[in-house]
Amino acid sequence: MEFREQITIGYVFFAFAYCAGLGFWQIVAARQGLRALSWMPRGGKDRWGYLAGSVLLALACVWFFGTRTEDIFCPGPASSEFLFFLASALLAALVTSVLLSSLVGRFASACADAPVRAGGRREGVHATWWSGTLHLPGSEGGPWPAVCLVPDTGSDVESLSALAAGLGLKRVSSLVLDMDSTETWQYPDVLASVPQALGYLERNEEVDAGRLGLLGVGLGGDLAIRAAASDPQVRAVVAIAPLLSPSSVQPGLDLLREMSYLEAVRWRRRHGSGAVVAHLDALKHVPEMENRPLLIVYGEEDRLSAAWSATSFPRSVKFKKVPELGRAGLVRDQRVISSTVSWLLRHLEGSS
Amino acid sequence: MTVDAALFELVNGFATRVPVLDGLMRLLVNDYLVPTALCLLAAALWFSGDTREERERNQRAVISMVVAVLLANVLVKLCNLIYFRPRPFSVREVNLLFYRPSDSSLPSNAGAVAFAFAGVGWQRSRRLGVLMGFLGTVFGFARIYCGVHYPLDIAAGALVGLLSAHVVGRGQRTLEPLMAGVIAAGRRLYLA
Repeated sequence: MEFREQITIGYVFFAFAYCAGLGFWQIVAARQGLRALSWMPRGGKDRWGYLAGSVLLALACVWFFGTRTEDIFCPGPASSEFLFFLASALLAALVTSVLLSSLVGRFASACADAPVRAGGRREGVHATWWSGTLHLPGSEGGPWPAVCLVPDTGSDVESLSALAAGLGLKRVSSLVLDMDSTETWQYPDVLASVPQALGYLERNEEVDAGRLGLLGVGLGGDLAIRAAASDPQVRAVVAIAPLLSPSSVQPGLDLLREMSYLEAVRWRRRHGSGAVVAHLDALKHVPEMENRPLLIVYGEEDRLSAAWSATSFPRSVKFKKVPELGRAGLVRDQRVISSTVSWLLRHLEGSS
Repeated sequence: MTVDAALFELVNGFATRVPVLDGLMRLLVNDYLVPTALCLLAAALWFSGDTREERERNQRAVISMVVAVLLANVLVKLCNLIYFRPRPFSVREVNLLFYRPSDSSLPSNAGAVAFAFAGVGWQRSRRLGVLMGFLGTVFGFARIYCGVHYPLDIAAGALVGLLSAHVVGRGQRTLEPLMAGVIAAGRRLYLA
């Protein structure tokens, strides 16, 4: 057989393997819960992934084995060439799946991320070392209990607007820290932000300084625990999907179950490859909170929590595992918001 | 007539009698369907596992499969250097449903590769081993049915493949640096 004809068969096989690969990766994504590969919107049913993958795989097989019989029944590429074409096609299909998944994820989050407006008053606060947004339940009836909300690294103040709104409805004021930029997470400077924000709340006449709580998300949860350990004024702490251990930030497939590929790369870079988690060392500081209550909320499908799940915590630490959720979407989930708000309310009111 | 040739004639004798069966065997015998299915199974194994530890065991199995397939290919080439057996269609009248390969009939390269996959698959999980072994068996049977191999070629190929899988299974300590390196590189790329 002519070399040119063999190359043609190679190209045809590459096209088949690419299309079959697209279907194959959808099946793998559905089976392993890999959000970074799935074209289905987050929270979508796995069966759509299986269906899309199986249809693509079947169509590719029908086209190749049904219409290219002349190519198939000629001497084709040798095994090394076969492996080269197959591996390249699977890799190309993987890259395509990752890119498509990122696009779908971006589109879905753009649709879902409409900011939730909290009732009451909203004021921007700008201090030397920190800035944030103060949500007050109204103009009269204070002083109110207050919760300082610390977002995850890379998340803006709006990411916690649903939680702030939930607290506002129960007449609890909240101060959401703006820690969007990487610079705010530089260690040891990062240790200054929460105590200063708590100091601001203590001085605020509309806030009851005796009923202060802290809530942090992701790395913000680690920071909240660390800050509460050294500030006895803080009555209760909630850590939503905290990292707690540098091994939570290890690169690997577990991150692709939680977020898109590009998000995973950015997420790891923002977390300084685990250096900030190690410096904060929140796990070591949990006992220093003595008997003040700490609630750790995490998703049932959060693979990163495996890094600390075997740790023994003091009895004052309570856990809430949220079914059918990973890390993503935890702070917007109504079950998480209502249970967190009522837990905080119970512990802040109880301590007044 | 040898048992091998008699078995070949028995199986190959069915070819061209039932068009549906011929179609199925032509689908199975080609160089693409079963090898692609085996490679996709191996790729799926790479990503499977609920915990990091389980996934790492699966990934080690996939690397072992690649090494076993390479070893099986080398062993087949060495056998071909020592002994050349003509294909059935070169020496007798056969019902040929495939193109005419020109390399040695014994041992079957296709059988060696398929059973190298199956051998390592069996070491990792009995279910995977049975599935891959089934694919290898139908692949081998289709090659006899279509007139490109004697049964002994397939049996010898399977033996070479299983031997390669066994050698790779025993040599895990030697392969450790390779495995650790590949898995570490995969993790850096968020793919392991």
